[in-house]
Amino acid sequence: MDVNLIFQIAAIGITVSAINQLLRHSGREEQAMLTTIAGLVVVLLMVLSEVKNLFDTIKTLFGL
Amino acid sequence: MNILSVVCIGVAASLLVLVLKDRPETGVVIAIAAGVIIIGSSLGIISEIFDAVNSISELAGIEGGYIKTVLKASGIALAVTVCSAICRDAGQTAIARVVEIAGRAAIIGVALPVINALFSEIVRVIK
Repeated sequence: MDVNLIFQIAAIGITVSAINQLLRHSGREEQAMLTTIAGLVVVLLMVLSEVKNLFDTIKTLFGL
Repeated sequence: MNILSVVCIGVAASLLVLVLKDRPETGVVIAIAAGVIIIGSSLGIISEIFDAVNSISELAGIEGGYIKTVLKASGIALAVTVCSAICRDAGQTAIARVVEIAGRAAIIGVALPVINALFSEIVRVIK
């Protein structure tokens, strides 16, 4: 799971920027902004669980 | 995960961040993901180090409280360093600096009992 998390995020980023260019050139500026925000939310949700696991292990390991 | 795969992950992640130059926010998320993965994989080694430190400190007869303080301080330092590096990646050096200051305060807060014990010891010796 760990390494391909990075590649999934990169793939989502590339598709979002491609869709963004497409929408911007076809004149729909606001939808381009919406897809950017949607892509960012999806990516952040993917990373969130990994960050939570890491901080839980750090808390138990270091006794914080 | 040995060090070579950590190096490969680091290089791959930074290249991907370069690819996503026109989407800086996704680049920062990739940096966060790479940091999380690399530190997550190296926590196993860190826990072995701490077990060794604990056993050595018991051997040497050092009181457990001091070692726990050292572990807490290094945990805080680790988390604060990761966070300030990510903030600096995102271009927010002010936030990174503020996080570092809060981290130093937290470490000193953790170390207060040890400092008190030290000074009371010194005062007892002087009297």
